[in-house]
Amino acid sequence: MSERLSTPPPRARRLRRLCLVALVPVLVLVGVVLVRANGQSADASPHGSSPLIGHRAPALSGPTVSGGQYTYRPGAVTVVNIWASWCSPCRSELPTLVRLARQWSGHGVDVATIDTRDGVALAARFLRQTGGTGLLAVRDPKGVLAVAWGATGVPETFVVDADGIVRAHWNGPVDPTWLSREVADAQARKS
Amino acid sequence: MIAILGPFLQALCLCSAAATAIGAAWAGLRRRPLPALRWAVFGTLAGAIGTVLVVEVALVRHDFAVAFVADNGSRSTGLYYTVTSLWAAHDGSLLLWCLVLTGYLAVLGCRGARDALHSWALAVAAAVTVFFVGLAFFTGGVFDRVSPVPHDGPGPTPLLSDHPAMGVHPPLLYLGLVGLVVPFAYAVAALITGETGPTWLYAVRRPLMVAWTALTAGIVLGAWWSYAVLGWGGYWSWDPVENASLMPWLLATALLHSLMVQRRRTALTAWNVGLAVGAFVLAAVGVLLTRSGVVASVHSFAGSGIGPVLLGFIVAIVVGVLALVVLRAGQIAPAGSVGSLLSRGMAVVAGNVILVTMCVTTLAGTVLPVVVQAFGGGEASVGAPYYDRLLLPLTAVLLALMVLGPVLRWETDAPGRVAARVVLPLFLGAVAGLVTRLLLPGHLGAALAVALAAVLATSTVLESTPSPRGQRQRLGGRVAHLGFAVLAVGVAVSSAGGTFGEGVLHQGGSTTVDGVRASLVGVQTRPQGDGERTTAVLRLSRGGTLSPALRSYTARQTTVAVPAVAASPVGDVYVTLLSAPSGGRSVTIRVAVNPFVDWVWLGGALMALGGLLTLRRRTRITAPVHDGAVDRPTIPVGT
Amino acid sequence: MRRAAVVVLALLAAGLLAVTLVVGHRAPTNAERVQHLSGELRCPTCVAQTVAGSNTPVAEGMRAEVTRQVAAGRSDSQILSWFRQRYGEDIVLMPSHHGIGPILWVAPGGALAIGIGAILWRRRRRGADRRQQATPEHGLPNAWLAAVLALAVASGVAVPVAFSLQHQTGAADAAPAAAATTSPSGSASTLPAETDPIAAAFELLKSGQPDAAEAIVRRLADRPGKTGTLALLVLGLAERAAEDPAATATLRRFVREHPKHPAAAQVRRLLHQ
Repeated sequence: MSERLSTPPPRARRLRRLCLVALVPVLVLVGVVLVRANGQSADASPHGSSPLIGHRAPALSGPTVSGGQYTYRPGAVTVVNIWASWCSPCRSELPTLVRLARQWSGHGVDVATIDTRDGVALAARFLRQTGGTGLLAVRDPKGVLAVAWGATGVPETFVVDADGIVRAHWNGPVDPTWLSREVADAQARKS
Repeated sequence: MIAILGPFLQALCLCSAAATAIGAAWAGLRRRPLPALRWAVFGTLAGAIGTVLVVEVALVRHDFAVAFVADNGSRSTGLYYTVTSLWAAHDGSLLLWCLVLTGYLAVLGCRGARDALHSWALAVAAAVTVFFVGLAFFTGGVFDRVSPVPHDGPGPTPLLSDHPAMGVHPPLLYLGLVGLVVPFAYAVAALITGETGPTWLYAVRRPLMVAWTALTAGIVLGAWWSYAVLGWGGYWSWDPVENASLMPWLLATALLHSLMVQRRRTALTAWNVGLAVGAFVLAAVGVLLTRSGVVASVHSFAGSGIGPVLLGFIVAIVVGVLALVVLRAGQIAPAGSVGSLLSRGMAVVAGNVILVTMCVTTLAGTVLPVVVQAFGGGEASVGAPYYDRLLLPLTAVLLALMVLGPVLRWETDAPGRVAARVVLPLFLGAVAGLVTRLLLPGHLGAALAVALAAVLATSTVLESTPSPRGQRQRLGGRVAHLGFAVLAVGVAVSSAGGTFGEGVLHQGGSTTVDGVRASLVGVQTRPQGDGERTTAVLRLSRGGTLSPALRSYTARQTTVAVPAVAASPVGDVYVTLLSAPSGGRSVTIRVAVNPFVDWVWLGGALMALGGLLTLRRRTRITAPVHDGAVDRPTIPVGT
Repeated sequence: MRRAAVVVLALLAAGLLAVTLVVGHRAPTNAERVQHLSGELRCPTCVAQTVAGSNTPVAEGMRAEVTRQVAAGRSDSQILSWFRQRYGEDIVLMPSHHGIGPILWVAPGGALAIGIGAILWRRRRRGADRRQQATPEHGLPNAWLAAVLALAVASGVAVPVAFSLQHQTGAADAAPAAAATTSPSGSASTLPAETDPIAAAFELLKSGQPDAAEAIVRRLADRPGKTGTLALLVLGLAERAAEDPAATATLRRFVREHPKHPAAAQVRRLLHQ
């Protein structure tokens, strides 16, 4: 069997060059995936990464579960919490929130909650069961208020400073230590 | 017993496949046929069939000591869905994949190794079999022992045990995807032996058509199945698993057309080899996308055992083939001309370019979010808007090429002659377009798409060739093209004219969507399986009743919506029961009206039928079997 | 066909096409606009679904909001940027123009350009190739074949080996950190805030507060990767400790989805006690 010709025809040369060129991106891609795939450790933190942080808080107004009317206006540090009676982690979270709200009232920190995609009677009963009857809960039967705050589920918590700028976001049942710290930061920002 | 028998059969399959690969390679090197090799091939097939049988028997007998049965079987699942639960989980579906692969290997090697080209093809196919069977053997925990033996298992996922398509769609899809290994094997063999001319061509044509037909049928059946059960009234959501089957299909379609050009014009020799390899590589990429968790997150990919191994397999193939081409570039059969700019060959080539571009688009959209995540760029989302915007113009060009292709002559053609043959379909298409426009105001794109599809349909139906024998030969292709036109109409009209509405209905109340009124007649709840089934009965204003339901599964704590569809050639009414609070007499339903959506299934079925029809005629010219020496056979090309 | 007939038909077809392009223009109805916009928005809690095609509460809320804004007369781009401000750039399904998005347009465009270019280039070189002789046929020398095979196998094996080496070094770094966070902490009321939430949940579980643990991991159980796996496991154990009837289903799901996990065997034992 003879070896290949010493001067291959031009078409063969072109094919060869093409193949060698095609090989490069394949190896580069694999190398990149290799390097980057293990380069990062944990997944993104479950804390909030809301795009609203640093921006003006969305509108929050409407009828409340207890029958009144509420309109958010900047002026005091406000903790906005989104919950629903069909959400079981909210059941564990709400007493904590109530306790903190009581602690903060009179110190210039408001707590306003949004009761999303819920019925009035169910919400009222939920508040009774968790000791939150005194909590301000704006009704959001269609879920548009929660969407306005960029929420992807319940519960979610936002901390808004006295100028109406969103400062922090927690996705999930809120950690009271974190919340206290963020509220303190927001208050300090004011003064 | 099963714990020993199962792995033994797998090992038998693996060793036989390895023996086949080595034996066939040896036969290829020696350039002598080796009929005895068929025993190794049969051993591979026997091992695979045996493995699947063992698992099926364990499933049916509810032998929960076997890990796969403990994780996927259940005493409350019916027989049909127990059998199909083999491929309801990754470990089991890999066994099905291996079974189909060994089936193709058996067909390829049922007479042992024949001439050099065939021997090398058999060796490559057997090597691929070794990889996948090895993967199943070493990474699948199907036959692990579970102790203590549980009394019952969770059963397959509810969505996969509710619809009879479960027994047809995956096997059909695998028949198509796995079948692409045959053109690939022959392509590599052709590079090794240098026979990239007619011999390779004729060996590849039938297996490719079988694979293409099965893949077409599998994809359309999958879309229909999604439509019937998922509850949102759509049938294609561009998710990675769907794209994984679409990409090889696009390249396989390109290949089967460009093979025609090679047969007639002795052109595109290198291109066809590359395309055959590419189709199989994309099928393997599809396996990677589906099984390795790479699209969910790059981290789950790196952590899973199977992902990097599959990636290594793909890299090995690409590197190996590129190296082969570099070495064998001089041996690839010289290519003649495809034809002039206005010739059938050129139309096919242009069609190939479009199909490959579509494939690149789909690949980019599927893989890019993964790459972005690898760079730490957060989430990138690619969805229907992207694919629609890019693929719709490409499909329009493709439709036009499908009209021109069959009409043009092979060598060259004159514009005047072409115009004369095309003008009547053009006129009829314009009429159809105007009618669509008037019926569906506000959707220009749909009207144009229908117009083009109508041009294609009428041109395919009206087309005449001088000889009746020519008519018979091209029947399959014409039916397939007609099917594509029908599919295009279905897609265009159902996406443009589809509307939906949601509402809460009380007893006797009704909601109207797009002129169709659905009134609630009653709600009933009865126990089913380990949960219950709540059915809402609705009467339609256009006649008939629909009964969408909500099926709850207590053990899994999930509820699955079972939509109800009233189908008609003009359109479907599709109702999903969203919620039915217990004890209440009101329900929330979603009513969707999908016009012409059944044309999508019909078009797909016609395409598959066309594929089957092309298999009727035997390839008139077959590669002669040599008894050792290899020389370039002289075969008269074309009529 | 006679030439005159061809011309007439062609003109008629062109005329009909012109009419089609001109007639039937109507502004989309509000419902159509809502549907179109919902199809452009990604459902944030689903996998590969649009807001139009999903029934989750978030998607329904987003659809309600889109309906409200369409009825209020806002334009498509205004509505989409409203959502972008609240959910981030990736809530809109059309890839953005900055970042890595342009590749999605460059890749297909490039393929098309290369294809057309190749066709035109081949036509110019056509003559030269036809003049070229077929090279004498010979098979591939065995040595070269073996070299190609070796190269292919080596590159194929290198990939998983490289990944597993990388993975081990990564795991080695993470191990001390994990050990630190799972060491018993002091009082249960101070949760380790910034550290691994799964470890925090596990701590709560160990200190007898399964409800709080459950609350933390429930959200994370559907995440991909290791987080989701561990969250699912802790969720099942927490539910079991709280005597929640859903525990069995959760633990079964863990076993089904992660049969090879080190804890799977123990979980199976737990399930069948």
